[in-house]
Order: sequence, then C-alpha cells, then structure tokens
Amino acid sequence: MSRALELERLTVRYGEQIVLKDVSFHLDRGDFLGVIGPNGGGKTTLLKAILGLVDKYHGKVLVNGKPPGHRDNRVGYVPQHSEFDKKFPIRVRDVVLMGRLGNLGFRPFYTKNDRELALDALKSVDMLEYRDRQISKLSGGQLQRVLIARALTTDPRLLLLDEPTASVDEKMKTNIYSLLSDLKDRGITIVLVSHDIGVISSYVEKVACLNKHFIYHGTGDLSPDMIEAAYQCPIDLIAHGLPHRVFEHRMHREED
Amino acid sequence: MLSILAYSFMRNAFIAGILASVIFGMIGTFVVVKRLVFISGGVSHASFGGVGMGYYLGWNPLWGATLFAVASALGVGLVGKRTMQREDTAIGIVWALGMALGALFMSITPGYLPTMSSVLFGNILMIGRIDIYLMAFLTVVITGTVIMLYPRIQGVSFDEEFSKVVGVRTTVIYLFMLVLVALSIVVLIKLVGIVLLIAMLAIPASISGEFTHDMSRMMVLSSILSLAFIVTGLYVSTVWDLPPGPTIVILAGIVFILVMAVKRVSVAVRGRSHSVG
Repeated sequence: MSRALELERLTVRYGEQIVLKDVSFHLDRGDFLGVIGPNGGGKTTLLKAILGLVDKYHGKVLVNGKPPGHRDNRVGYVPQHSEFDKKFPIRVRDVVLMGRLGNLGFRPFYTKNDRELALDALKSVDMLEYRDRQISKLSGGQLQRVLIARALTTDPRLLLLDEPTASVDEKMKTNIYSLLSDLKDRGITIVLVSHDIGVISSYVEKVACLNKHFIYHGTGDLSPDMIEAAYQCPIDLIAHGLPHRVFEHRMHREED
Repeated sequence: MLSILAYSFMRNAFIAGILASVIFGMIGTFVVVKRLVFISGGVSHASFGGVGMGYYLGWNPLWGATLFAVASALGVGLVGKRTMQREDTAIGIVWALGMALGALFMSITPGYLPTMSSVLFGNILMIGRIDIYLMAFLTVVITGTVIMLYPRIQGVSFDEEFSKVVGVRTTVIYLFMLVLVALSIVVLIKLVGIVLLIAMLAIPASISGEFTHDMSRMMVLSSILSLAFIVTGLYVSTVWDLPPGPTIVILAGIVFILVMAVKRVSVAVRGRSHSVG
C-alpha cells in the first residue's frame, strides 16, 4: 500500500529564489505532523506543492501514491484565515458547501446530501448555529472553524492546515487541537504548519522544522539545535525530556 | 413621461436600458466581488482601439470593439494568472494603448465619423435594432451562465485556490467570466460610453453589497438599481436636454455617496451609543 504522503528531494523555486530545497519525508495514515519555521521559510509553499498548486517543482511528491492535484487525492485544505476578504458576500453555509464543488458534475446546484454533509461538518466544529451568518460577522477563531468544516466536507484522507491557530484565543486553540486529534483517530493524516512554536502542542506527534531546508524529527525530541538551525538564531524554549511540550513559551504567556 | 417614448430612438434607449440593467447587475456583482473593476476599465478603454479600427476598415465598429475587448481581457487575465504583480502594469498599458490606437485610427479615417465623445461618453441615438438584439442575446447567455455555474462562480470569486484543490477548473471559469465582462462592455458602449462604463459596473453592485450579504441577491438588487438609474437618467436627460450617459452615471454616483455617508454615520452613531451605554 502506498504511503499517505511521500516527498523526495522536493525543490521549489520562485524565479531565482529557492523556497524549498531537497525536502524529503513521508507520512502514513493517521500521522500528525507539525511543521514550524519562520515566516517566509516555505511552509505555505510546502502545503501548496502537496495540493498541486505549485506548477513547477523538482523532486517527487506523491499523495496516496498519486501526483499532487490528482482527482482521487482527497486532500482537505485549510488556508490561513487572515488572508480572506472578510467583506465578501457569502454566508457560512455557502463557504462550507464549497467542499462539495468537486462533486457537482454537470449539476448547477448542490444536492440534499451535499447540504447534509455541510451541516454535519459545521456541527462537528461547533458552528452549526452560525450557518446563516455572513463571514464578516465571525471572529478569527470562528472563521477558522468554518474553514476546517469546509475541508471536512471534502471527506479528506489528508488534511493540510496553514497557521490554524493564528489570532485564536487559548480556549479555541485547545478546541481546535482536540478536534484535530479526533480526526487523526479516525485515520485522517494531518499536516499542520505554523510559525508559532507554541502551537506544536502535545497533540502533535511528529515535528519538523522548515526554513528552506526541512529538518524532520520523527517522533523524538524537538531539540534547540533543530530550531536554531531552522530559525538561524539561538532559541531556548524547549523543555528537554518532555517531547513537543514547549514549556517556557507557555510560561512566558502566563507572565504576559 | 410616456410621451418621450413616441420617438423610436427613445424606445430603443429604454429597451436597451432594461437589458443593460440585467447585464450591469450580474456582471457588475462579479466584477465588484472578484475585484475586477480595474481590469474592466482597461478592457473598456482598450475597446476604443477596436472601434477606431472598425471605422478605418469600414467594419461595424462593434466587431472591432469585440475583438479588442476580448483579446485584452484574455491577455490581462493570463498575465495576472502567471505573475500577480504584473497585472496592473498590463492593465495600464492595454488601457492607454487602446485609447491611442482608437484616436489614431479615427484621425486617419476619411469621411464622416461620429464624434469621439459619442463613443467615449455614450450616445443613445446610435442604439439601433442590431444593438438591441445583441444585448438581448447577451442577457440570455449571461443569465444562463450565472444560473448554470453559480456555485462555481461563487467559489472561484471567494477562494480560487480552494476551488482548484477540489477539482474546479478555475482558470477556465475565470477567463470565461472575463470574456463575458468584455462582451458586456462592448454592447453597453453606446448606452454610457467607454469612459463611464466602469461606474455602472461598480456602483450598483457596491450599493447592493451594503444591503445584502448574498451574491445572488446582490445580482438581483443591483439589476433593479441599475434600471432605476438608467430610466431616471434617461428621463432627466431628455427633459433637461442633458447628455444621457453622464447623467445616468452622475445620478448613480450621487446615490452611492449618499448611501455610503448614511451608512458611515449610522455606524458611528451606533458606536457612540454603545460606548456611552
């Protein structure tokens, strides 16, 4: 059986600039990978390459053994919610229904089944009561959950999230993580990228750093050396012996 | 009011106005939510080159305008797809080049020509039977397209990347919509003119956007608003002997400014009462 996700020496250039260099790793069904790295380190590009949104790349990318962008890939994508035009005239339920766009075929309208799936997804992220709201009336965390619901209606086997906890309060962060943990238990493979080391919480079982180069850490510790290598500046945030728990960062939070 | 309809050119103008309202409402909503106002401006001005070329070659200027409008829409659309930051450059070039070509062609064309200002600012006297038929045809095509592709158009407008990920052929939909924008511009030139067209694409849809948060309702509401502006503008321009294109656009502009002002004031007042209470 082919791997859920397999990358081999993936290199992406934008013009002269190398954004990703020789990125290699693989994930199996139900894996949960957290990728951290500085802004501009290529995190979003990595996700876009997996989604088939990058036209030119070198190396190999396979999603369930198929090339990126293949129809059968069933990849759920949760883009950065801060990138959206929140004034766009669209209601929550119509955003979520977009997950069913690929199943429209020649029909001009969504089916009853599509609508039920959308409502189920909204229920699973606790946003059902907001279904008729315009998106400008949502908080960042609420829009985030709507975007997760939208990705879920595609019935994904692989879920990719870009900065899902940016500008989201602590309680909502915990909610989002426990939701992702449930999804992982249902066999969905998850890749989450963030520039915020604090989000790589105990739910994430595999950690990697990305700053053009990808330093995959498997299931062990996230060592200061690795973060230093990724960020290219000394960072001393990680509590040794407690895998993936970003100890001092949390303490900083409480002092704030 | 009905007495002015006794003239056949006024009847044509009113029929054209009704059809134009539907086009302005649907295409204008797409142009506003997808932020294509500037592209539309470029396409509209580029079509002036085609109008001039049409006169010079002895064609119906409509065909020249169609050629230039569709080519510039596709050109700019493709440039924008390839390199995002170059799109506005391409629009600016197409915009000015079209105007220059139009002016050049019209100056070297011998014989009688309509004045340049009638092309730039509209001239309802030029609206003939063929224009009405073309507008009717385009209205049917646009309405049909919007109904058949509504979820995809909504998806591509809101989040093109996600739509692509779930298997929508986003570039095809986007370019197809740009072609519809270009064709709409061509058939509407005689009503409001090349320079004033973008106002009628942008204003009714922007006003509607203040009152509804649903794209389909926005389309209906901006069609109704367009109709009101066009009919009132045509009537006022006839009674006071004013040029119809500018009158319609100024009317729409006044309503736009009023609506925005009232909205802002009411938000500010509400904000203050909140902070007091």
